[in-house]
Amino acid sequence: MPDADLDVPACLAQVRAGDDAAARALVEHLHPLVIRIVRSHLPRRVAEEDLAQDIFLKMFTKLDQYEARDGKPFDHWLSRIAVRTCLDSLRAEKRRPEWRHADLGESERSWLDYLASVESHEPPTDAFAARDLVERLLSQLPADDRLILTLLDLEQKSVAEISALTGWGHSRIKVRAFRSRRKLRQLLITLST
Amino acid sequence: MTPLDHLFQAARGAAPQRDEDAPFGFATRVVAAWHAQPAASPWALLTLRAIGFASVLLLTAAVSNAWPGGDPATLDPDIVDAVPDVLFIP
Repeated sequence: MPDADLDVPACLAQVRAGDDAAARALVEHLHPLVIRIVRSHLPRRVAEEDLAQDIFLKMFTKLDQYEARDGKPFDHWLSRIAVRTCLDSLRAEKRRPEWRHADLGESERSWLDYLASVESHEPPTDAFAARDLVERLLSQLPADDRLILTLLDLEQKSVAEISALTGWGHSRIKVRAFRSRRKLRQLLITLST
Repeated sequence: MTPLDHLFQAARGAAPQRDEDAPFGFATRVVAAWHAQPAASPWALLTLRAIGFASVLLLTAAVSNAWPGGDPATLDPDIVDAVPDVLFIP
């Protein structure tokens, strides 16, 4: 069980001094943060545990580069490593899954019909079908588009938060979000015709 | 709200609730893998830096060769009349 009251700066000092027990405690304490990021941006053929392990290894390897006096909390620094590792992993994905309208369940199809319809009517109510459809749609997009839409529209992070996580500038994020949404709409049109 | 906003809003409401604690033995495995990583030797770092520096030099040389930096006609020495000039110096 992770220790919720772990004194992270003290623990980091112990890890730097070569204390393995402190290193294990740090991993257990930070695992929920890392696994949430990994699950949000997990490529199709990668095990979440493997990706989480890569992130923790990077954290230990780069530990000397973290300076608490910069005013940046340790979990922000680690979140950035996690997001960038996930992005690299998404970019390395050679092929994206292909699927057609016929592969969708009935509830997902009703969402797709609602999205493609020009007339305004009430949206479907099946939230799980919406989640499945969003994940299917995002998996069709390039890594950067997928990342930005997940952070902005699914996790509702602000542009400033995304900038801190990715290292991208505000205008780059806004332009990327605009283009990613346009790609998503084009994908919807393709699928519904 | 656009239809896409409705879709994302509905999807947010169905975020799966899963256990976020580290699996048994995960932390031990990570720490062991960290110690098993080969440490980067100073020679390897120096070699990488030397290769990087040499690449930059090569690239600069290639670019400066490709760009003569002026009109080629003005750079060529005027040798057409060199022999008569030498022979008929007053």
